[in-house]
Amino acid sequence: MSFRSLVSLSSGKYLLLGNEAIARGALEGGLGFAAAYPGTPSSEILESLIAVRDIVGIYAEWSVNEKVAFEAAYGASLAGVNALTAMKHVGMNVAADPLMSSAYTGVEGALVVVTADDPSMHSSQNEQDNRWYGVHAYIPVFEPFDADEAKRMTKYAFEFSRRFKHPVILRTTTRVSHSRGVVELGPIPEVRAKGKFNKEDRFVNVPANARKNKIRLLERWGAISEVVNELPFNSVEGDGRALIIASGSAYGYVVEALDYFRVKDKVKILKIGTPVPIPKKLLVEAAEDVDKILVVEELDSLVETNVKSVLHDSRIEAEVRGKDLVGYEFELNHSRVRRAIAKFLNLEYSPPQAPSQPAVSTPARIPTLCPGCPYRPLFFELRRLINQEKIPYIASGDIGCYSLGYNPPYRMQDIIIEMGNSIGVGYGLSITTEDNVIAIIGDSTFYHAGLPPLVNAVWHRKPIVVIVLDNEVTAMTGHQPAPSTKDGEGARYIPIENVVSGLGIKFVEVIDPYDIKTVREVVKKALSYVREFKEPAVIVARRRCALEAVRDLRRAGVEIVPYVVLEDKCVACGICYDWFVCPAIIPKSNRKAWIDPELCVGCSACAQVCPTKAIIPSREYDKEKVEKFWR
Amino acid sequence: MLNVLISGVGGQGLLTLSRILGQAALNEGLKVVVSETHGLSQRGGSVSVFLRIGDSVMAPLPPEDDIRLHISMELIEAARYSYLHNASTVLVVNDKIIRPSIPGVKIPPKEELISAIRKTTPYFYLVSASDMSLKLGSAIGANVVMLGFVTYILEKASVVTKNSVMSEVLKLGAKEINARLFEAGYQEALNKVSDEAVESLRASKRLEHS
Repeated sequence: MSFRSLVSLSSGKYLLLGNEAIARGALEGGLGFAAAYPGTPSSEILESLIAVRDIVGIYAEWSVNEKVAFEAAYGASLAGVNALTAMKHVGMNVAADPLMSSAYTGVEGALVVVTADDPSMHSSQNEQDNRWYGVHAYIPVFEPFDADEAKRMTKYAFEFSRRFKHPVILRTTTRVSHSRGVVELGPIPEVRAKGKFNKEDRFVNVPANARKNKIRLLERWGAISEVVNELPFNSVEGDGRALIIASGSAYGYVVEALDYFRVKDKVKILKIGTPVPIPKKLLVEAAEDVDKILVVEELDSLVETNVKSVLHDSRIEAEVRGKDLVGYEFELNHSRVRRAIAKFLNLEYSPPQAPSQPAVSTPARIPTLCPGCPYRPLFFELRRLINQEKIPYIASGDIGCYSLGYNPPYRMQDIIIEMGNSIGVGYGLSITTEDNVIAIIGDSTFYHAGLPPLVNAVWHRKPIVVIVLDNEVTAMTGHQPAPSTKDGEGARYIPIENVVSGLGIKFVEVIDPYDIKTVREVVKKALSYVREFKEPAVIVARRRCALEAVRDLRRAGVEIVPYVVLEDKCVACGICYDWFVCPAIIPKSNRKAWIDPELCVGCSACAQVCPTKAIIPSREYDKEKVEKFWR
Repeated sequence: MLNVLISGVGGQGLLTLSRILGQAALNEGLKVVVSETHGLSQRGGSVSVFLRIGDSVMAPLPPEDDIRLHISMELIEAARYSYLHNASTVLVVNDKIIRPSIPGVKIPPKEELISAIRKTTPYFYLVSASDMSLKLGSAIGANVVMLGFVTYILEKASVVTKNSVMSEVLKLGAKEINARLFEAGYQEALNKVSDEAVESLRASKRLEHS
């Protein structure tokens, strides 16, 4: 059943994605307001809330970035409305400024801040452990181990935040956010989406007030540190002379490992659902009568370090193992946890035998631009232009589908570290190198973090070509709307060319990335403009995300006509499959091209790169009718 | 407990397939965890989804040595993940190669690939799901054909019922074509799947209740 169809239910067990469970928990906890910027693995939380906002009467939006979303949720909370904001781990860096001070002022309605971390970096540039933000900011961190606990914990986090008038961080990881599990539903209370702001000095963090706030913050922190000992998410199970402390997502692996070794009756488990602050009393009670302790947690040694400190203060001398057996990097798995527990308990364990790989080599399969992706022809032509004219260049890259332009043969993303770096880092390089700096950024990323560095580049008049790849949506994370989205349900469309013209940029061209001849001409023109006038030029390459266009074509029942290769015209040059590299175009054993009808979306972009015009539609169709969906 | 691996290429409908199986198992009152792959890797990358069924399931990922059923939408991916096979793994693989989008990439010949994969598991079923789907009029229905095929096996192993899976399939829309695709896969399995393969899956369930 869809998340939306469950809104009318107040009981029963359903299969929910971890992120849907968080959304459900928020609704059951009395949510009135939610805002977020999408980011894997957090996006489905707001997606779910947006899907039901009209039924339940909450306010829910995609904001322009995590800081703005945080501020909006914080504002709602000040009016006494229970609010949530959600972000991926690196998004919290963007929101860190208001996050830190929100703990000083405290809140009024609940403020639950979800951070979805990505151990193993399935979809991220780093695997920072955001539990540290809780330590850093004096904000309690709740961490569920599965979907059902995620729902219960989120609901509880709302009560907790309201009770202490203090923000709460809910930290999940990819495997919790993106695992579907059986969740028991509860009732959704009547929604309160409006409130009243009562003016108080605590919300004005001028130094005199901030100092008072710090004292009050520490008092709240003291009370919170006591209460976490009583929470249902922290518990002691079993008994024995060995204690395993399992924090957050580690709990499931620990329980299964103890089952596997059949030692459940010999080991005590301290399950920790609030790694920050650690439940000290519970820990001391659990540790008093044991000989040794193993801390199992994903990523950093946050709980382990705390455990050692608490035991030291309590003069408990049990041996503490942790990261020395479990390791720091990447997400947990059964082998890692089993191996650590086996060493800790002196058990025999031989990890799964060396893989019985088939006697055949499997080529790597990296993520790739989709068939029909408007970025492909643009990257293709940029690469061709740069190669043919031997242009010295730096392609400053960014976060989004176009990050895939890093891959061969395009190789058009030389730096990727964070949202907005294409313009900001490219700016620094434009001052300090003689190369032509080309910043490549997507539309949603442009509005997220590209504006301030572009303003800076205009202000200081520095030579940088900015190509905004405008597919009118936040594509990588699942097609959430951005200010560049045209049909944003009552939201206002903000054309990028208007914004950059408003900044005073004189070279602004809007092009269709499918039209590679124009791509070439305009990029050349921009490069010489920047060289001559020493100031930024902006090219907006606009065409809809292929996944969206194809989805809409299918919904509208418009037939998608795949393209075919004329065998006798094809000269096996390989341009279409080795330089254009559409996944749908495949070399046959004679090196001539073949188009897979299962993959081809009939976009027509490959037809223009074929030097012998061997690629044609498999049958005649109404091109104008189809083209509408791509614009 | 029963641990199922579903592998393939991003965009082949793996999530739909795994969600439907998960929901159908839940309909039988079983505890279910489905570990999905979203985001970057869905863009034509190598994708693995894990479906775990049974009361003792606590963690999102299965142990690396206990995959009982591997459903693969693509031959190279079937080969890639065959390191997770053990002596009782049942492999059902779509007879389809998708070329990784890397210039000059070397792909082993199909026959070589198939014969190498075949050696990694005692129960090997090659299903022409992509071809069947195209013939039945859909370029995007191979996952539903595969779903029909594995439903036969999982029904025999008392994990799901055909009716329950079918009703989930119909919720996808395009009812007529999806029903035909599903039935085609199911019939294919009816003719091909051995009792031993089904027994192998049953054994994993008995393990649980012992």
